Amino acid sequence: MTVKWLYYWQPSIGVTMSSQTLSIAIKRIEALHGVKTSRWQITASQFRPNQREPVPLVECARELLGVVFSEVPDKYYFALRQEHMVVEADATMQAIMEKLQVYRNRLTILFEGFQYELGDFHIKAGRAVLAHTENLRGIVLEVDYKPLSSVEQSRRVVQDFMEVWQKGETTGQFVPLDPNFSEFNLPDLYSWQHTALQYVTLMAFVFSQQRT
Amino acid sequence: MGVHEDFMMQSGYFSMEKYGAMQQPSPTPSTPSTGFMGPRSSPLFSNAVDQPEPPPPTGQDVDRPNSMSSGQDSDQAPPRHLANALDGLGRAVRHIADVRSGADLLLEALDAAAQVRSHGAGNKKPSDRIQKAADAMRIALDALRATGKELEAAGVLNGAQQRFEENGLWNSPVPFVAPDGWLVPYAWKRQIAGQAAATAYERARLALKAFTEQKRRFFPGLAATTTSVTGTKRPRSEGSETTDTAEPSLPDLLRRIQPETQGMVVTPYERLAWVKKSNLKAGMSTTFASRVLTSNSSLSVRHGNAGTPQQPPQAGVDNPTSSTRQAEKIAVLEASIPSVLVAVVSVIPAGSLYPDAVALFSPAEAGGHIQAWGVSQHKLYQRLSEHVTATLHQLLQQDRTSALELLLRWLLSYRTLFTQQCS
Repeated sequence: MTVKWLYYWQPSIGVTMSSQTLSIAIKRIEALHGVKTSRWQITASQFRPNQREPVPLVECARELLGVVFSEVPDKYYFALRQEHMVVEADATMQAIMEKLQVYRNRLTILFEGFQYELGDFHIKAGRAVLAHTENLRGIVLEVDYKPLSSVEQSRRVVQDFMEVWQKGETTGQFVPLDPNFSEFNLPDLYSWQHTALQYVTLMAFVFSQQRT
Repeated sequence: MGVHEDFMMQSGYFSMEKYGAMQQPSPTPSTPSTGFMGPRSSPLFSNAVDQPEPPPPTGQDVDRPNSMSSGQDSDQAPPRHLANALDGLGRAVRHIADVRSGADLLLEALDAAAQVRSHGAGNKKPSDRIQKAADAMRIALDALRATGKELEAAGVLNGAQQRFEENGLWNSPVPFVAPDGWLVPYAWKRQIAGQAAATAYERARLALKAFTEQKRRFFPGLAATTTSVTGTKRPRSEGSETTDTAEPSLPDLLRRIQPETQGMVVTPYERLAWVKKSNLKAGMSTTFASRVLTSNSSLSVRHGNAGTPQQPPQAGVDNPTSSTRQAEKIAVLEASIPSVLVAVVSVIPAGSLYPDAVALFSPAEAGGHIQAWGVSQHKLYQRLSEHVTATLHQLLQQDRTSALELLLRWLLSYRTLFTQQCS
């Protein structure tokens, strides 16, 4: 699978974040003759166990972070931070969880936007909003370098690309998200699990931003 | 008028030039074709880009009949007319040449007369010469006048005045008369024509040479007619040859390269086996899965084939007993630098050392298009393929026997393609 790198918008000091940033980013992409292809949407949710009894009967995970991609609608990915695992489940998992009521959905963030093609790079530009509200939480950029599948090999290429792409931007910059894949036992060969981990990390980051 | 007629004379050459270089200025720097007068003032194109007639896209041969038939009602068919016109113009040019040489003669005679007079010898001779020269000139001028009148009557010279005015403002160098009587206003035209002929000959020779080589490669049976040093190479039976004495064989090369090229794995395949493999891979989603599955499940496919690919960690050559027997069938080499690129090299004739084509692909790509002549899906690898093909041909030109080895080593240098900074 081709490698994706996530970038998160960090506004400069004193500048407030707004949807303007997204339109600026899209303009930049289109200036490089990027071709708009489709919409994309990724839902990241945080689950907490439903504690009815004071003492939990079953050993279970304290926190489940789930991600679903619009590109892979039949799979649901979970990242378990304590256990350092990324697991893949079927999409019906959501229905099952709702029926069982073991875990409760506490927070959900929706990443959505448009996908562009720039030669060998496929860029997804979008915003992060809290589900069921229109609260803008962040601007997200995902750079997908098509020719490569290895995380290490593509790191430099994508970094250089982003450097060139955001040259001259004063209101802020896109900061790369570098989750530690090795901690979660993920190999160098990129896969959807890597993506799941990236988005989950991003979601956690967004939450932490929200509190500050 | 002289300038105008010259174009007609060299019409064959011109129309050829015009086909190719309609919008471009003339090649030499000395001509002010697109200089101060603009593109239309070039003598080469004035016939085509003209005020009176609309410029036809084809050469000026079509131009002429139009002007002629518009000039007068002609009973003759246009080609005849054209031939007559060209004939007439040819005659005119010759007359002009005569006039010029007559003028030279006259000058010579006058000069001789002056010398004779200063020496005080008999003055009968120089005056005779002067007379003769003057007569010659008069005759030539009369003939020229007559031809000119003819051409004018035939309507060949329509628009010539405008053209001359357009072009006459040049300071053209004095035209010189070539030995066959043709007036060449610009010496370089002749030279270029000569050069074109020379290069054409050279190119034809090279093309012939290339074709005979190809013939030898693809039809080894016909190789008997060639006299060049490199004949068809067939590897010897047992792998005991050294690189100096006998013809080096492919398994030897692979064995030799293996310890030196860390990071690159070269695996040989039979051509058919490669096609099967690439088609098999087309159904796989990830290369990891394909590597595992193809080696396990398609063992039966490759059982009867020679040069079966091994697991990547091992060297690319089989155990000696089977390798020598089947070394002759190895036609495709897959050189892969894990997670950077995969190169497919086709070797012709099978089993020898001569690479024929090479193409680069992403290690994630799968499909029937991964052949030595295929094109990658990614622009990056397309570019790289072009580059490597150019290198391949360069290496082949320099030294055919070591081309494959050098190519493989050069490919190895790409292992830091994505990690090392461009210098």
